[in-house]
Amino acid sequence: MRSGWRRLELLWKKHSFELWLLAPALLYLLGFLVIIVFHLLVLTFSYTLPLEDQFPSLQNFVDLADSGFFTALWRTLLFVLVGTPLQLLTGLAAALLLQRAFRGRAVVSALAMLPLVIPSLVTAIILNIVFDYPFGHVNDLLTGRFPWFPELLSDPVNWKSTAPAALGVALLGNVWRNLPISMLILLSGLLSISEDYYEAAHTMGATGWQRFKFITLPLLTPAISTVLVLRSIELWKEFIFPFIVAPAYPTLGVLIERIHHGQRNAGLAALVSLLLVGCIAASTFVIQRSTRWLRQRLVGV
Amino acid sequence: MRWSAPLLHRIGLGLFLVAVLIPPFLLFKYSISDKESVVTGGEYPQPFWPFHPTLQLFEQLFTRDDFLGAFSLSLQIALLTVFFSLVLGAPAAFALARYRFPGKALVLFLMISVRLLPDITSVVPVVEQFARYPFSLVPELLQVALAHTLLSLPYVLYIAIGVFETIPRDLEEQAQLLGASRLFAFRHIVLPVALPGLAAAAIYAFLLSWNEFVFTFFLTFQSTSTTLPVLLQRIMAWTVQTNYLAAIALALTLPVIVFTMIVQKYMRAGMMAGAIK
Amino acid sequence: MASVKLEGIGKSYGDQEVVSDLDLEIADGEFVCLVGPSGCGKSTTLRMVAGLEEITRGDVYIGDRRVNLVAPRDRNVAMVFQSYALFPHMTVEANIAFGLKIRKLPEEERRRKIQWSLELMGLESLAGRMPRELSGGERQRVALGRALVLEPEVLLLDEPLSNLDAGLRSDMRTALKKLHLEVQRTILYVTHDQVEAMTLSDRVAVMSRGRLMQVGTPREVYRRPRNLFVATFIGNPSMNTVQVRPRDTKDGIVLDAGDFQLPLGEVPAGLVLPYLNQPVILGMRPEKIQVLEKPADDSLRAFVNVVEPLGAENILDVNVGDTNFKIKVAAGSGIKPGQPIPVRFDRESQHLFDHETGTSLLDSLQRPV
Repeated sequence: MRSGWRRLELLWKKHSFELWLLAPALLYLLGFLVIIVFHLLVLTFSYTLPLEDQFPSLQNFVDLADSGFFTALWRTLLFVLVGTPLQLLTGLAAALLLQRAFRGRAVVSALAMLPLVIPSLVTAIILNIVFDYPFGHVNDLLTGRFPWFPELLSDPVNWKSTAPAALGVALLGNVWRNLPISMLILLSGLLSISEDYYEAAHTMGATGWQRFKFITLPLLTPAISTVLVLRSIELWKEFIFPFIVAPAYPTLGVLIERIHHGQRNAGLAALVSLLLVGCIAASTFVIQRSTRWLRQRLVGV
Repeated sequence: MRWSAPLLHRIGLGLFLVAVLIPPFLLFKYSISDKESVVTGGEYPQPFWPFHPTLQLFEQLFTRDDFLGAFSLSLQIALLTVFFSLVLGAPAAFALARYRFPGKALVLFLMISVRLLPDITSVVPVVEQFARYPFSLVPELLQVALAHTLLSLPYVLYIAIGVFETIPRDLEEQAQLLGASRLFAFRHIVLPVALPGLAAAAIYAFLLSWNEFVFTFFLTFQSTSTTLPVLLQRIMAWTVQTNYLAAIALALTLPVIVFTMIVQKYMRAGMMAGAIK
Repeated sequence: MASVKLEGIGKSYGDQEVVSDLDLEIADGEFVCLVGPSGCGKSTTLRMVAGLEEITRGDVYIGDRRVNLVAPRDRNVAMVFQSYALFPHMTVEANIAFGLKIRKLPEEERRRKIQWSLELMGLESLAGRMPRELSGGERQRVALGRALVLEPEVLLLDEPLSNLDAGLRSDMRTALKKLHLEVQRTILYVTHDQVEAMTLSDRVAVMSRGRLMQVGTPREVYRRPRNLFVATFIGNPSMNTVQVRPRDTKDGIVLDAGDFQLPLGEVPAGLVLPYLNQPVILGMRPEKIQVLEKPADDSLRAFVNVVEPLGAENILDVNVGDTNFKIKVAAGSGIKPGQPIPVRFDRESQHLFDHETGTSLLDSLQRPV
């Protein structure tokens, strides 16, 4: 025991300078981490009454069913299931466009970063304006009010009052905003594939599609897996777009805000928050497993 | 006729550019629109270019108290966030970049693990904590800045570790041999040399705070004064005046674009040229 | 001014031993070079003296003071790094003034010392420049000036010339030697360049794989290498080596190389007797092999492969039988490749080394058993 203290003392003496430098930031971040985890757990098992709080209590679990949690979970899951592949495909298309050398590539690459630079809130508000009912740009366009565009709908759509439309617009915003991230990850993956493979395949008479399928895709799986994991996590976490564009159809993030501000029920909000974290962990686990499996299939055969 | 690959590529690029540029264009267009081009009452569709482009909205902005208040609050909070992030982050990043000590990997993991939680998840407990005594005594401005520091600090650490790793160890060792203590060498030799790189981290922290919505929204939910993003959301909830909304949004966005351009320039640290070789 | 004494010092990183059991004494005012191939532990040794590296075993003394646990800044040593480590955000003058300011010297005295240092290093006109505006040689001089202005007891130099181009390097070599005569400091100088080590120092300490191989004046180390490593590391082109077997014949002991035989030179026969008929390594300096006008009784027939002109001298790459040698001859001897020449091995300059340990057979004489 004594030698243990002695060793600690020696370690402190040896590293005290760097530990002093490190301590403030470490304590700050760790302090917040402890606060967050502590309150999440305590609130989850607290029943917030108007006059006093009950702890411990499982009331929040009882209230969960009526809180709209399961509908919100379903919406969020759809959001992730549709959004993640969409992020991948748009990112891949953009990366393939920019992979090729052409005049003005530097300018296009710089412009491609624009979505990331504009705050999501601003993008969400633009979407809100453009998809306005009944006189937004999109409705004007689709109902044929511009002579140069075909009339696709006879009546304007109220984008905010149907779940698929509202969440679809929110998803559009999210995909647009994060396009540069997926694109950059995939582009760096594409650029790291040696030109030699393509030339070898070319001499063997592979068509463009075959080259993509047998060389690009297998070698790109690490980048693809990164995009899938990162983007699916972000979609689970997404708050601003659904909050601004689809307030009538809360996803899990928006539901937490609703419960916290609308019902003033911090306990239930904490429970939903914990469940959201659980969903993210489970989804990440599944995606990583399946991409690893897919990669073995693609490379192994 | 078969479509050639270059032609397809060009069409693809065209579509891509249109998709990327439409929202910023619309933002700009609305912010310079006159009333007639926005509120048409359904008589005619909204034009893609305003009938009478005007900068009137911006002039109005700078006479409105709510805008000016939010602008100044946003600025104060962002500057505080930069200050806290650097004061906490730079020394810690230096320790992490330079020294080997037991448990370093664990420390790094613990420091970034706060960011693994979604904002919307961490915000409920943070608000809960700040509502309690004695944290409730902390002014709201400071509360928001502290929350933003929590968000930016892991990134600032990440950037600053990279910066310190590029600074040759010789410089500090030389300073120590010349009689400086380790702290003196850090403050008077390493920090000044690291400054251009740390500026990038500072700008990152500034932008994060400037854009931040979730924590600010929750922490200032009941107060009248708030930051620009939350003001924007509040105005959106009451008004149909889209051009006014767009003007504020542009005022929020422009500093971001400008600062991002500056960071890219700043990143090329020319200062190291004289230090080695 | 002080002497430096290293007593059995060693340095390990985990299981890896970088410097082991190193003894070295440097007298007051002496210029000693630590020389060896890269990775031999010479820089680590220097850094242990500076206090930048913890000492795993043994003791370091500066003067009479044991400094193992003394912080670098309290050791009264100065160091010039290979990179010069000039503070990039300070002018030349501020760089030189840095240490003086920390020591809180009075303004008056500080001015005087800075002036002295600037003059000593010929930097008066550059005082206001930033490091990035200086050439390599100028930076080097600033680094030296900054080290000397503190009047350290010991000056440590880590490969200070290796970042300079060839011409400048030989100028700086001369300048360093002059500087040493002028300031008379104890200097420990680390280099991988044996020419630098031989020309600059009072004594040379040759290191290999963390161990000290030999310490001596440049002349001693060159003429009496204690082992095969020192023999081949010092000297350019390096010493020729060939495996021979001593044989006892009626003419006395001869060294049998297979292709040819040589009579034993000045190595005492008594030291060679234990090795009769067993392999030993014979070393011959390239300049100790003479090219004769015409064949003589004791000459060997060599075949010239290549002639490398070096200006005043030529290096010949020759074969005697299957054995390859380098020979240094004066230029203008008119020898051409493909030509057979008679050569004679200087009997007085034979070096013999144990086949297994590489130690010189003479070593048992020098070291009391």
